[in-house]
Amino acid sequence: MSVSSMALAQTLLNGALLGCLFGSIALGLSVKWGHLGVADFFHLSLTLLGAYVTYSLVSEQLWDPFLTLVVTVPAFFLIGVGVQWIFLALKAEAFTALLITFALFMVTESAVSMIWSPDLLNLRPMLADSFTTSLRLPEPLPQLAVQPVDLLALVCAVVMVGVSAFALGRTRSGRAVQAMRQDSEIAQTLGVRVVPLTLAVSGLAASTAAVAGMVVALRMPLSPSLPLQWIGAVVVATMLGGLGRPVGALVAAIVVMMIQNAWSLWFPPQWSPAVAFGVLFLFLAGGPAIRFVRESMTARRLA
Amino acid sequence: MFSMIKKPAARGIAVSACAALLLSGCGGVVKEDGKKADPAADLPDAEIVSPIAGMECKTDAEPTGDPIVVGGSLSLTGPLAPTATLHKAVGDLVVEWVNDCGGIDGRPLEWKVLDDQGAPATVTSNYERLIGDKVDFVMGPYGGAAALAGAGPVTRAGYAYPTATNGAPDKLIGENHFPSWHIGGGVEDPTKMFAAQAQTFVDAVKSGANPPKSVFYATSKFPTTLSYTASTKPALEDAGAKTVGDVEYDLGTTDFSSIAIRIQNADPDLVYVGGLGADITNLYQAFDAIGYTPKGIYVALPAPAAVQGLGDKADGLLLSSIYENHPPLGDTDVAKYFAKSYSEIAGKEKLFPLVETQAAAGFSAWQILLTGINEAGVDNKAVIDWLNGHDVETLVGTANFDGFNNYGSDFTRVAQIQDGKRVLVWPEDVAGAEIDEKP
Amino acid sequence: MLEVRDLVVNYGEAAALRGVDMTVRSGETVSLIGANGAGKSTLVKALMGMQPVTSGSVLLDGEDISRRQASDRPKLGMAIVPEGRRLFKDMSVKDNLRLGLHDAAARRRGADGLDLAYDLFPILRKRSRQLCGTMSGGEQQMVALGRALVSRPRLLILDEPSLGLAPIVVAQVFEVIEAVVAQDVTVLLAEQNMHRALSLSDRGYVLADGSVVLEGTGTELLQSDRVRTAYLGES
Repeated sequence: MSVSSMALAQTLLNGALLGCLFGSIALGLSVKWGHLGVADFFHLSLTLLGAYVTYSLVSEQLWDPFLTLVVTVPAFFLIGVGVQWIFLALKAEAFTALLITFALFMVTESAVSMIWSPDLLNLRPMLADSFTTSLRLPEPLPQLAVQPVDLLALVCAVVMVGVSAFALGRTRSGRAVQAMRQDSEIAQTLGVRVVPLTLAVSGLAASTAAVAGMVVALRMPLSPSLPLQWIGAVVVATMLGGLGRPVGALVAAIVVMMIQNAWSLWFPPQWSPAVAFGVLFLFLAGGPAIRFVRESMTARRLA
Repeated sequence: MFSMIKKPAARGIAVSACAALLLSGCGGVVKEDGKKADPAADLPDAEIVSPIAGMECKTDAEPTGDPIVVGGSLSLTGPLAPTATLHKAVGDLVVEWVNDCGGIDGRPLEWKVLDDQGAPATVTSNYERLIGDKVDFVMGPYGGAAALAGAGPVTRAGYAYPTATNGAPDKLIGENHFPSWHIGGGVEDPTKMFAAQAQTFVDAVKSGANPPKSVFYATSKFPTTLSYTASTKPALEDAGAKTVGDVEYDLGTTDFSSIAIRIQNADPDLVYVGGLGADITNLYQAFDAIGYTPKGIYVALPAPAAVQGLGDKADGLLLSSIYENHPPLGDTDVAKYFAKSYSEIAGKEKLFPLVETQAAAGFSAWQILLTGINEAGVDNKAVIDWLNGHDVETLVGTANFDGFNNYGSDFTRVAQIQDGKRVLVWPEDVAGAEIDEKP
Repeated sequence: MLEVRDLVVNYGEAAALRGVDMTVRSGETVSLIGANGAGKSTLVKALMGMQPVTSGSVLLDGEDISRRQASDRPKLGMAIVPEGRRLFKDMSVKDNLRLGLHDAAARRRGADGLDLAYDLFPILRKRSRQLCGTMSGGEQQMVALGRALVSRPRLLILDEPSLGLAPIVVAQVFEVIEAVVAQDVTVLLAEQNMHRALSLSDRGYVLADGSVVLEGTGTELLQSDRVRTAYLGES
């Protein structure tokens, strides 16, 4: 099948923008996994929950979607704090915590089904045409189209990832978080208060789910099983980007989705979800291979 | 001049400020008239009548005595729940209806549902348990695989097995099987079970002014939809419609952007989507993203709410159906009362409020069972014998149980969204309008 | 300044410290010596709040701090150079040093900021962006010392600062410790390298099997037969 270069460009653009949404979801997972040691699958459920709450507030209370953040962001912060508090109170090991988040993941799907019905909910018909009509890119790329909601996803992703990366790398609390992950005991002797800091990080990570959830509600029809569709791309992006690295997670999500989309253009689309895992496999297998080659070359030079 | 430490902070604030500006710039995200219109708003009031032929509705008689218990298994949770809850609502409605009409032979009807979470193994054990509890009759579950999983214990115990789901029509169940939805109706060769619906579809598109000359197929990797496409594609090709693209995608795919671009590139007269559930919504989302409008589009098994959610964009969309709520099928007293009471219960359960394929099939399965009980008494063997020897008037048409796997004539029809309403356009005897094909 | 009274620490059933008494006066440099497993590290950890105390007390200026959290130590004016250095290896030299000033009280005392560490170890200024994990053992020890010193602690605890380092680096490290000792800092030095430790200390305690078996001035202990036979391996 012949595909024009413009179609490829459009596909890659769509992939990159969808990658921004997945990157926003991966951000919270990456931070919690990398810095708190909890592979928190419940984060995906929180994103779903954020989407449903946004849906209800917009469709029933006729709130502006951005206004919903005033409610969801603080509420999710508290949920994030609460979940982490449970882990601390139980003195949960990483594996126990993983099981708990997985249980919450399952429970949320059922709870969402019960509260909002397992049927499909779509906010799109309620959105203004100006928000759902695609924009044409200006010259010199007039054939490329982009949806306003995808631009919103891009802005949200860049802002959240940017702020997270800045906070982690350039602020005192961010450095404390990094220190806590590497050597909690020594960090404490330097005055790092582990409990409040852990709770705060978990709360902030959960807050990002509220924002990502808002984008999800505007972007796609909602059904309770959506997180299962995301989990592959999000986990791959989290691992590929390096645990605990916000920018890495976003870049990885964008790259993975671009590759997936390009794949679907030429090859059977049903394999595209496997492509993400293929990329991860190549990366994981490729790392040691590159190291081996580099080391043997150094050895030869020394010899 | 900023100091070294403040510089990045200032940058961060600047970025946030720009973002805030941008966000407020695209304000007015929600439509002024954001509330959805209720598609069931203009349903006429209806008088209660007996749900089946041959039974009288005595609204002043309270049913007494031991209840007649019907056992069933449905996926009340899990991935099949969206449609299974609909079948639960239909069952609840029928039981209340029968009891409002004085019960069957004066005895109240009761229905006992167990949750199978969509797992076939649980379906089997649920029916074993129900039969162990000595329920009087059973009603089939939702989902083709579930229907087959339930058939074992039900058939062994000698129970009649009415079903409303027909995902794998070539799998034999037996003489105790009474389906209300016959994919494969009128077909004797198990390998060609989907041929009848394919022929109906081809006839439907040929009946219009502009039959498609090129077709792009996009099919979900789900047994029923794969069968739909596999039988329809050669039939359309025989009718002169060239295949310009054919892709399959994973069940539950949400990102259709690459498929949409492929379709845009091929620009066919008809997009044949062998999809189910929300596929159509996600596909339209991808069309929107690239600013493409398909010339014609057909979807095999879309969720009613998904089609409803498309709003104006769905106009002209074709879909497979066995029933839509309009004359002639929707013109009977039974159909009117069912439509009204279903819209009420569906509203409470947040389901799509109009009767369409699934609700009609579910109700018809109950009509088959109730007719059998009413005519032959509370005895499975007698009910099975009676049903095998007689036709039953149902909401979706006259059901008989003469063919392969007890299928009768084919009920598969083609519906179209016209002016925001779902209407059957083929075959002619049940159609509410003619097919509308854009040139 | 620091007074340890009848301190007992148990790891489950096993006793690690069996009632230790020890005093460090303001401005003093005190060595804590003993063989591997004698209880030096346990005592240091208990002082820093890194190890729960079973019974007894740790008084700092008369206040019992034995039950206070580790994260209160900077506020109390205590800092540690831990055994094995325990730097944050994925972070730069600069960020490691900055963590020494994480606590607000630490920042108040350490008004010179990171310059204190950079002046003490000029190489660190040049390498401020390097990740600590990629540095040599000696350079890492400089960062660890710098991280503890930038907050200008009143009581500095050094746990085996020479362990695992090349002799030339050990000499360098002890030069720094001597420089620190010369200032107005109270130092508690837990060290296997007794000669060096005792020669720069005012006093010393010898630990064996979780108890103090000897105490005295540095010179006294260095000349004690018992110390020589038991710990210096001389007979």
